[in-house]
Amino acid sequence: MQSRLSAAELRAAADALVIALACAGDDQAFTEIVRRRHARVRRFMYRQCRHSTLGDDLAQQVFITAWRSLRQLRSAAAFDGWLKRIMVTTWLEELRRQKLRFADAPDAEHDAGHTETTGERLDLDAALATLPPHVRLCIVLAYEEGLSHQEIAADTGLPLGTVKSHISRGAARLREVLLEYEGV
Amino acid sequence: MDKDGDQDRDLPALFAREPARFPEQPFVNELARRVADERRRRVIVTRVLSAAAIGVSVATLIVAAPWLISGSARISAGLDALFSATASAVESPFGYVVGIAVVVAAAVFRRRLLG
Repeated sequence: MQSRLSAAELRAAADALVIALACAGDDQAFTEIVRRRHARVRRFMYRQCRHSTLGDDLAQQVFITAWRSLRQLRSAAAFDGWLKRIMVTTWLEELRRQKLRFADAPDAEHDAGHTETTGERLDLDAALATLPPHVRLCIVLAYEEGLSHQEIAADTGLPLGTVKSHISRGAARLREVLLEYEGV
Repeated sequence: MDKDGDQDRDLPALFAREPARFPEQPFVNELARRVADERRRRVIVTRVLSAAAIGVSVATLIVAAPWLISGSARISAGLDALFSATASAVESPFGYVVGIAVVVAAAVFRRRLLG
């Protein structure tokens, strides 16, 4: 479908308008949404799998799923929460499909292509890598996405008690590992 | 977010510190290409399915034509018999009486309705 707005107008348009246009079948508006949200989705996926190619593939999958089901979106204001649920579901499906093990070493391609430069960032990723996948998921949703325990339980389908225990154990483990890094 | 206590403040700060940068291209262009491909595929699938539905309908019509013709002839004969039986019943003296009674009942009912 031909966009009703020019590329420049789309770039300057408010989120709600761009989302509404995308819901009406405007592919250029959807591309603008991707442009605005890709870093967040890719960072989430990279934090989970620590592999830039797989992370980008999963992020693409998230946006394709979102595009396919855009018509189910009730309101533009609900978009970010809805996208977050797709992100979590896509990751959990991948986890189930491959019983993925977190890579032990950082992805060399990522270090070259995606410019994460600080020692703290690498330390955080390395520390996250030591957590089991579901604990890592809860930690990233809590500390990076800012979700409450109840929201995490709703999005992941895990019992609230399990979420609380994952976050408490995961946070303790992260601090431990990060202290070790500082000590080196 | 539910907090464990003051100790929990360090982790959000660590996550917020210098977020990783992910270059826009080629990710965004690749996704736009996939969306365009998927839309094209949808259009093709819709057209193929429409054509298939029309084809199946026409084929069904052709295959079922003998049964449709004989069936319609049977229905027509049945209706013909039904109409002639009804006509002969209405044209009998009993039919006239019933017809007049129905007309009178309808007129009374209408007058009561109007009031």
